[in-house]
Amino acid sequence: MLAKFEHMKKYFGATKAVDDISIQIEEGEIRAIVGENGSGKSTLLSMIAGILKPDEGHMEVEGKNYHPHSQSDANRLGVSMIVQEINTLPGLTVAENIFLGRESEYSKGFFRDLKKLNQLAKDKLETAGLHSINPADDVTRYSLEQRKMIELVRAADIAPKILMVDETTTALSQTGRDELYKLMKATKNRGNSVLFISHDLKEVLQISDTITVMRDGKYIDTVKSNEMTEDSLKRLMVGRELSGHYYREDYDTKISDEVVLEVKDLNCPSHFKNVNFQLHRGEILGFGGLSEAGMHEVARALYGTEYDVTGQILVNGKAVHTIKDRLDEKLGYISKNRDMESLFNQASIRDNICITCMEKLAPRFLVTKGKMTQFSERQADILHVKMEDVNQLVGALSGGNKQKVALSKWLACDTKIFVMDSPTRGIDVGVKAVIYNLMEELKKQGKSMIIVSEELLELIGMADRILIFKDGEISGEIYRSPDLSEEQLVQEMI
Amino acid sequence: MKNKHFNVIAFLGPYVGLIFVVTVLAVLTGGDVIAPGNIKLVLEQSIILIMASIGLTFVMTMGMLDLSVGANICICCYVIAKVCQINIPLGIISGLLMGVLVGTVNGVLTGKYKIMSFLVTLCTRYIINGLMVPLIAEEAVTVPFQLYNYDTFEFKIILLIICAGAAGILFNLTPFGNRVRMIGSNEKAAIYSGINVIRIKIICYALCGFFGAIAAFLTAVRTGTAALNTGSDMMFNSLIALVMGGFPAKGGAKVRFSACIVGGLVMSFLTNGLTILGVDANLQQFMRGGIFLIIIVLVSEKNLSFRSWIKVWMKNNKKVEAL
Repeated sequence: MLAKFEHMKKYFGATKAVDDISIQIEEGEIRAIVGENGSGKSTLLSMIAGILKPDEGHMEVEGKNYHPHSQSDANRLGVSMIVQEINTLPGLTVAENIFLGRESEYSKGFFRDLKKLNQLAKDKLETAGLHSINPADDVTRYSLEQRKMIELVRAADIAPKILMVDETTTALSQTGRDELYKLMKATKNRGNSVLFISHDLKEVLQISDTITVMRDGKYIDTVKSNEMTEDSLKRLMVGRELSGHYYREDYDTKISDEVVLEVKDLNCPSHFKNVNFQLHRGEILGFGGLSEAGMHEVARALYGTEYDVTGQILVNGKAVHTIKDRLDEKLGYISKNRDMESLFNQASIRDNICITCMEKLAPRFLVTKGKMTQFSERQADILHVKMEDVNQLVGALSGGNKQKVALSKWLACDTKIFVMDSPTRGIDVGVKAVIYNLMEELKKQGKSMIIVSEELLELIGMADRILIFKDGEISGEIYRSPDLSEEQLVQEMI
Repeated sequence: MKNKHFNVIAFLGPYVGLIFVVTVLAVLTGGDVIAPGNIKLVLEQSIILIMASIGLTFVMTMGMLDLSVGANICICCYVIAKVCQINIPLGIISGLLMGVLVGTVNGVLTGKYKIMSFLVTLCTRYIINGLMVPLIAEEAVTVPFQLYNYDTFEFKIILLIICAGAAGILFNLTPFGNRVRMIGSNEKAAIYSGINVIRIKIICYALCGFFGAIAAFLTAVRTGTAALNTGSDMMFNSLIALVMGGFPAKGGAKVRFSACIVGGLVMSFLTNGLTILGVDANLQQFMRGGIFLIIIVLVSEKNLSFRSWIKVWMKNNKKVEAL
């Protein structure tokens, strides 16, 4: 047995984030930890990684007591973690980032031997197949994906006894994920272990040996991956039969001819060009493509938050220029980057939901807190936001619930056209189902949606029509059909 | 990690602080501080500071700074003193307009042209100070006698109630006030929610200038002169007053409007009490700075050890949990 973590507990005020969890890890094991948002997975890993101090619990690695004071302490003891967010330091070079905390390996006394540093770093980058990355460059010259790869190189180099991966795969392309899988397998082959969190159940079943399921901070079960299917795993996670269907099950629904949004000759140098399309009332239009194909930027341009955009955007026949124009025409935008662009994390749920509706709530210039509370409670109820009350700060909510608040904000002000960028990214199965249900409801109500997504199954399942982006242009248009497969979409994307 | 209990402390804290300061001073001065005549004096003296702090509240709630508050008071005081010699109502209105002008310039430079508020207001401060030198030359400008009619406790209190009341309503009960707080919470998300951030920034700075002008009027009425050093310590004093009133350093959604009033009172009682005790003016400044620093550290979001101390104290004190 490589490690055991017994009776781990962590409370945040009244919330029992981790409520008496005990797990054991064997040598050479890849263990996946799955559960809905708010199940406590990240909190548990954070305690093991030395980021959070457990309120109670006992940890042992290789038979010895393990109580890290900090993340670097944990690294020294052979436990390291890769997270979803960017963890390379801007202002330092690639090589310096790889050897962060291990300056002695390339220094002689007080002086750093930069030549040696860059040489060592170059070797490691070559081994990882990252030939185009120059170790002497400032790390910010590279894309978010490449920076994540650099983090992987660093993690691989430390050769930890326990490698922890917290939802890193969501932000990676297929190449990135393959590199990560290689790292995980290498760790396993060394006789060390991997703990990894992911919402992608397919990936979990493919790459892990065993799976631990958590729910609401409690331990449910640990199962062998080869004995489970996606459905049985989902059932274990959610604890009840997922009633109804997941994606839409209707085909051949007639789409209205009324055009609610029209885009002509939209151009943005270095992001996209010659974008032309129409969105009809009650239509769900999907945008698919690789992450750098330009579709995310088009979505931003639709809302008016992208620079240097030329061309025409007509909502309900009217040209729109400012964000206010879009709001007047009842167009709303759900950002890919919800923490930075959609939500006010240090403000209450009430403030977040009411922000788009202030004029509506204050017909005679004044609005009381009580009125805002009532209003936001009703809105939060529609999507069943899991919260203590509307006074709670949004930052304290789980990812899925945050997204529910972001959606509530737009539902509250009677939005008729939704531009959603990666609406279910990093969100667990339960909330995903709620969001898909919502989309169907909105469609029935005659509202229109554009869904930008890198999840092909989601587009196939939900969209009436999919526009495929490639190298900044629309390269294909595919209609909804029961025989549509991922391969067909991928053909157009590459 | 935020929980309901901590909100109770954040809410009561400043009031408790005020009571604490007054009690300590009362003990040290043998009760002189809380003599009715003295309390009236302190209230009257606090009004100028509170007025300036009301204006600053709007700017700082957005997470921005205004370092030109003192200089604004100086130039408005000058305008009032000069123009009132021609006509009193015209003089007062000119002073108010001057304040709005200064504020608007600040607001446009930082809001529309996106220059850091710290730099913009520092520059306007120095420009105004420089402008004042040739205008005020060797001796201070005196204020016409008629203005002294306004130097009554009743007038000042009523003015305070009207201004604080109006500003409080604007801050707490209007969509505008809500938006100011949201800009302070996450400016990018505010833009993405359709808030006209530029316009609100300009308005907030104009308000800051406006309330500064009112403070300037009260200064003219009290001191009778407009000198080069008029309002010079207001820049720091209003900042310290806000912090002592429980204002979170970066502003945002958790700001309570009462911070400017409670903080203004704490500062005024402190100054008054220390003066009664015969503490030297420079030493007073030293102490103010020290208390300011201590409060900032204690209230800081990153000061985990203090917060966990509170948590432990809470766990052991069921009474507080019942609150």
